Amino acid sequence: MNVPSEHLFFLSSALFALGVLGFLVRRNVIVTLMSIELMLNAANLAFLAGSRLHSAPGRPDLQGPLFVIFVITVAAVEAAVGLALIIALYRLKQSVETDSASEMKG
Amino acid sequence: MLDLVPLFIAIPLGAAFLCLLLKPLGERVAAAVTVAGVAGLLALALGAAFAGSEGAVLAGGWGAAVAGQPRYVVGIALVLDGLSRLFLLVVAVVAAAVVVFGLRYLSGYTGRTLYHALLNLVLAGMTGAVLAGDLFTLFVFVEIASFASYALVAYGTGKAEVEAAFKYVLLGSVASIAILLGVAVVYGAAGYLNMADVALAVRAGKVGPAVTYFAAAMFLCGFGMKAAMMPFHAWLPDAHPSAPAPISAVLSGLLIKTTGIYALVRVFYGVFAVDVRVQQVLLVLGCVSMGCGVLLALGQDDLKRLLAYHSVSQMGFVFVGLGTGSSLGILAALFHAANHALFKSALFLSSGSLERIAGTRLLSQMGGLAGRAPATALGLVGASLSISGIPPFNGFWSKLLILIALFQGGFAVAGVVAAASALLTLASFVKVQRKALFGVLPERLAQARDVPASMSAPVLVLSFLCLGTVGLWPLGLGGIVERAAAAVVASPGQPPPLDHYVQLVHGRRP
Repeated sequence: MNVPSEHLFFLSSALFALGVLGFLVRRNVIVTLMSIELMLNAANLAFLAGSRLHSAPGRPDLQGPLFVIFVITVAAVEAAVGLALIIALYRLKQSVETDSASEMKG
Repeated sequence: MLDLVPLFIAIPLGAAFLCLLLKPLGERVAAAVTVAGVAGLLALALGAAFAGSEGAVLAGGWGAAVAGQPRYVVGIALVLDGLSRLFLLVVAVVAAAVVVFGLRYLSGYTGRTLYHALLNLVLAGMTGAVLAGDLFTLFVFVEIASFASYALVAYGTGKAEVEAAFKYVLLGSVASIAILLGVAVVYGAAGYLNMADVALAVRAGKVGPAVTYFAAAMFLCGFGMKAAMMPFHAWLPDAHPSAPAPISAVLSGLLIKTTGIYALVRVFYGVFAVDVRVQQVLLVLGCVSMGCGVLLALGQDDLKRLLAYHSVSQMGFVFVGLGTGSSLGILAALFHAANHALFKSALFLSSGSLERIAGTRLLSQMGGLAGRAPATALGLVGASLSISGIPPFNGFWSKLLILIALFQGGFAVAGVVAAASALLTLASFVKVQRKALFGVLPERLAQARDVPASMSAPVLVLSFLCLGTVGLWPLGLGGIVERAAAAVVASPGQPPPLDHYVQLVHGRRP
């Protein structure tokens, strides 16, 4: 089965839109963080689709997968910092809703 | 000199890990490591800036050039050119002042080893972002600096700090993802991310206008959020005041410039050569940032929050300068960004001193402190005069250049907004002086004492640099700023920027 690379870009856009929707709509901070991860993985998929687009038979393009491995590392760090802050926030407020973090006026 | 380029990143990165490794030896060791690292960084940056050295290195490259495929080598491309030199110098100078100030300021905090490690990580991310020679490396270093700064905002671990840091993480992550998506789209269209190659592909029409505009929009949102451009500024007035004063100085003085302004200039003018439509967006958003930022600052009673809103406003000046697209406008914008780094870090450090002296950040509870704390007052007055644009301080010259560039380019409305914002900035800082330094000394503060010399000296040095810019300009500083602008925009008497950049990276003309 041969999936055209363009379809991967469409899938990536759909995943990204889902992530944005989740980020804007959901009030639970952990779900918000998961939506951010979804957006990151949409970008990862776009990198892989690009890599596939630039590969030729017998000469794979290795830059795309390399970038993705880096982004996975970055996403892990992001999740670590984000979850650490959620734990700190929960200890202070006893809640994981974004509305509970609204004391400052921005 | 070229062999030393990786040291700009290796020194702070190594210092960060050394701080943690040597934790059992005590907090003084971490402080000593940080001081040594920053001293090395300052020496390197001064050497690079005044010697005018430039070139490109591929750190840790592997893979071979495949026939028919341009430069198929994977590694970390680092490029030192005029623009990088200016920002490295600014980072090193401000970081040195901040580290010295922090030694005494943080004596009341716990976990100072972590503070030093994270501060070094922020520095490594910033120097890396400034030296990055491809878009993905730029993204990774921007992320390193951002993650460390999220943790530093929460350093106080109080309710306000954690809440501000949490907002900062959410908005900062969305900004990073926007940047990453822009990078992914450019990679999908071009097949490589080396800035010189992408710039050539854009000029040759290999990367179409649809991709360029989409990527430019993503980079504008992403780097604009990192640079606190309105309407993406919401995190800054919470995050910057919540951090300890030295960290506020790094965030407001350096981080928004290296991960925001520098990246935007490099990508928009160095790589994409954006057209007038994108420049108009920069102009409009810059005007909004300038005007609204200073209006919001006028009503603030919390000194650090007031300074944070002024950061939004001053970044607006930089954006309108960039939006002119002329060589004078970009030169003025870069000069103002460098000046802002000096006086805003001096202001945030003074706010830390005042908080220590008066026990509060609220201006309404201060007063008459000039008599009790003369050294702190002198530093604060110098930096305030500079941000208000009073001659002969550096803020005056850069704002004047921005105004000239705006009126020369025919952007009269933006020029009027800039002039009005400059006046309101002056009004706001007159208020700060009157409420904090002069007027009636509250009885509560009758026994207030000035901070030790190790805290007032860095502020005084920064303020003196703000004043001394006029004298330093003919002694080499002018050349550094001029060559920084010439690195991204065609300037009289300088080589064409892209030809020069490509020659640096590939060692030949395109």
